[in-house]
Amino acid sequence: MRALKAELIAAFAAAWERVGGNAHTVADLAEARVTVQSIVAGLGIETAVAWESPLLGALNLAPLFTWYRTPAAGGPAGTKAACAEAGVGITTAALGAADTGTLVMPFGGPRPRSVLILPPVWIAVVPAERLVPGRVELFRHLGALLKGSGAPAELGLATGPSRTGDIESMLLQGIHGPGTAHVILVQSVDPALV
Amino acid sequence: MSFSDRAAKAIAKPNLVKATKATVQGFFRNRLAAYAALGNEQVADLKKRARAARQQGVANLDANVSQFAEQLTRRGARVHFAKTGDEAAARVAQIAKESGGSRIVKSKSMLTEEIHLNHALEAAGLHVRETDLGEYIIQLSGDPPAHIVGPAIGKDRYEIAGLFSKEEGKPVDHDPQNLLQYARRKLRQEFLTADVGVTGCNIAVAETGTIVLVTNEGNANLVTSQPRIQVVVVGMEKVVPTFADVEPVLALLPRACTGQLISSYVAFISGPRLPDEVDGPEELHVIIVDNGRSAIRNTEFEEALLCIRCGSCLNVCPVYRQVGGAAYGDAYSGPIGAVITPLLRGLEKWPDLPHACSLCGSCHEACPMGIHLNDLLLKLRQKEQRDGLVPAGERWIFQLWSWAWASPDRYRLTSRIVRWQQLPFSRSGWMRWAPGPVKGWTDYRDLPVVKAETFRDRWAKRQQERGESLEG
Repeated sequence: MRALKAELIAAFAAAWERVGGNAHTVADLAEARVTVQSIVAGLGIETAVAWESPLLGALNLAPLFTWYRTPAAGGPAGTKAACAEAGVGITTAALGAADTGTLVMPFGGPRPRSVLILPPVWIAVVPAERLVPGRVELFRHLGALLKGSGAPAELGLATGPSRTGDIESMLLQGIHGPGTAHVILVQSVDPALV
Repeated sequence: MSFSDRAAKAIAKPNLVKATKATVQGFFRNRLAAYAALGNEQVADLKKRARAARQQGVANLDANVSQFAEQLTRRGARVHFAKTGDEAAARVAQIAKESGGSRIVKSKSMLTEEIHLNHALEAAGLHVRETDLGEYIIQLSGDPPAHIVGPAIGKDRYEIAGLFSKEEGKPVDHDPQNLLQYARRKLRQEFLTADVGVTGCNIAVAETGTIVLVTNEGNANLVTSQPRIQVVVVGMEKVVPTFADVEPVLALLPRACTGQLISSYVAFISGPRLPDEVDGPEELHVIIVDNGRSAIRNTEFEEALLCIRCGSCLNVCPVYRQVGGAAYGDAYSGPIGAVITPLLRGLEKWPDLPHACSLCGSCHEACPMGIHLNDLLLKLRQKEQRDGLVPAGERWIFQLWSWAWASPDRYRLTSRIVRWQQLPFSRSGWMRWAPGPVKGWTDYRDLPVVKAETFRDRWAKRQQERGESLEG
C-alpha cells in the first residue's frame, strides 16, 4: 500500500513536470506550509486568493500574505476582483490522475473558478490519498460527480500551467491562466481533512 | 477564385509553405510519439470506442439531441435550435443585445468560423474578440484559419508583431515572450469587461447534458467564469449518448491533435452558475446548430459527421502541406475541409475542392475516427458527374476516353495516335515541354513518351516465342 502510494506520487510529479509544472513532495501539512512560504517568497508574492476547504484551513496560510481572500471573506464582487489582482491562487483538488498529472477541480461556492485561472501563479495542495493511477479511475470519479442533480455547474480538469504553441510552434507558458503551476503532494494528512 | 488560384497565391510565398510544413510535421511526429507511448492495442481500442460513440450519437441523433437539451434545461440552461448558420449567428447577437451588453469574448470554435459569427456580431454593432492566441492573431489579420488546430501557423513573430503594433498604434517588439505578455494583457482586459462569453463544444453528452470543452491556453475557463452570460454554440453531430462515451474521445483528441496526453484544461459544464457561486455565467444559452448537417445524415457521406476536428488529416496531406489552409478558401481546410465544405455549403459552389487530392489515402490512415476521407472525395467527384456539375468539355473527353479504351483495338490505335502526337516534342523518350493542356503537367515534371514497342507488342511477341519453343 505504501509502495503504491510512493509510486503514484512519483508518477504524478513526473507527469506534472513534463507539462511544465513544478511538483513538490512533502511529508505533512507543516512541511506543505513551509513549501508554500518558500514559493511565494521566491516569487515576491504578497497577495493571495484561495478556495475554502478544511485542508486549506488547517494550513493557516493567511499570515503569509498581506491579504488572503476567500469567497466567505470577499463576497461575489470582492472575490472576483481579488482574483484579478492576487499574486497567487491557492486550491486543493478532488482527485489527481498520476499518468497525465491531471487535477480534478469541482468548482462551486467555496471553490471559485477564478482562483484557478486569473492569478499568474497557481499552487495546488493535494493529499497523496487523492491520487489514482490513471484514466479509468479518473473517469469513474468524473461519472460519479457529473451524473445526477448534484453535478457542479462546471467541473474542471487542469494539467500544469496555461500553454500555447501559436507563436512559431514554440511552447510558451502563461498566455491566459497561470504561467507557473506548483503542485504540493502531501504524503500524510489527517484522514478527517482528506 | 478557384482552388488553383488560391493555391498559386499560397505557393508564391515560400516562407509560408516552409513554416506550414514544419509545423504540421511537428504535429505529425508528436502524434506518432503519443500513439507509440500508448501502444498499438490501446490506440486501436480507443479508436474503436470513440468511433462507436460518435456513430451511435449520429445514428440516434434526434433522440440524443433532445435528451441533451432536456438535461440542460433541467439544470437551468436555455436551449435554442438553429437550422442555419445565419439563424445561429442572429440568435447570439439577439442574446447579447437583450442582455444589454455589447462586449463579447470568444474561445476557439470551428463552428463559429463556419457560420462567420464574428462578422454577423460586428454587423450587429457588437464588439467581439477572439481569445485563443492563434484566433486573436488571425482576427487582427482578417485571414481565415490556416489550420484547424493552429489557425495562425505560417505567421512568424515579425508578422505577429506587425499586427499587434497596428492594433496598439505603437511598435510592439517581436520577442515571443513580449508578444505573449502583450496578448495576455490585452485579452485580460477583454475578459474582465466582457458581458457575453461565446464558446464551442468538443463533446455534448446526451445522458448528463454535459458540455465538454478543451483548451491548452485556459481561455475557455476565462470565457466561462468571467462574463455574466455564456453562449455555447454546438454542432448537432457532436452529441454522444452516454457519459462513458466521453473517455475514448477525450483520450484520442489531444493525442491526435498535438500529441499531448490530455489538453491542459478540460471543462465539463452542466448549467449556469449555482446560487452560492461567485463566478460563472448567470445565464447559460446553448444553441444547437444544424447548418446542413442533417442533410448529410443517411447519405453516403454520413461518415464525415464523425470528425472530431483534430487536424490529423491536414498534417499528413501532401496537398495541404504544399498549399496550406488559405487555398481551401473557407473555415475547414485539408482533406476534411475538401469533404465538408462542399457538403455543408453546396457542391455546386465548391466543385473544385474534391479534386484537391491525389487519393493517396494518408488522411484515412491518420484519422483517429477512421473516416474514409479519400473515398468520400471520390464519391463527391462521382456526385458532381451525376449532378451534371462537370463541364461539358471534360465530360466529353472522358466519355471519348472510356469508349476508346473499352476495346483492345481502339486502345492500340489511340496509343499509336498519342505517340505520333508526342514525337515532335520528344527528347530521348521524354517530353520536357508541351503545348495546350499538357503544359500543366510539363511545367512541373517531364512526361514519358509512349514507347514504339508497347507492352502489348512485347507480350504478344513473348507469347509467340514461348509457343514456338514449346512446340520445338
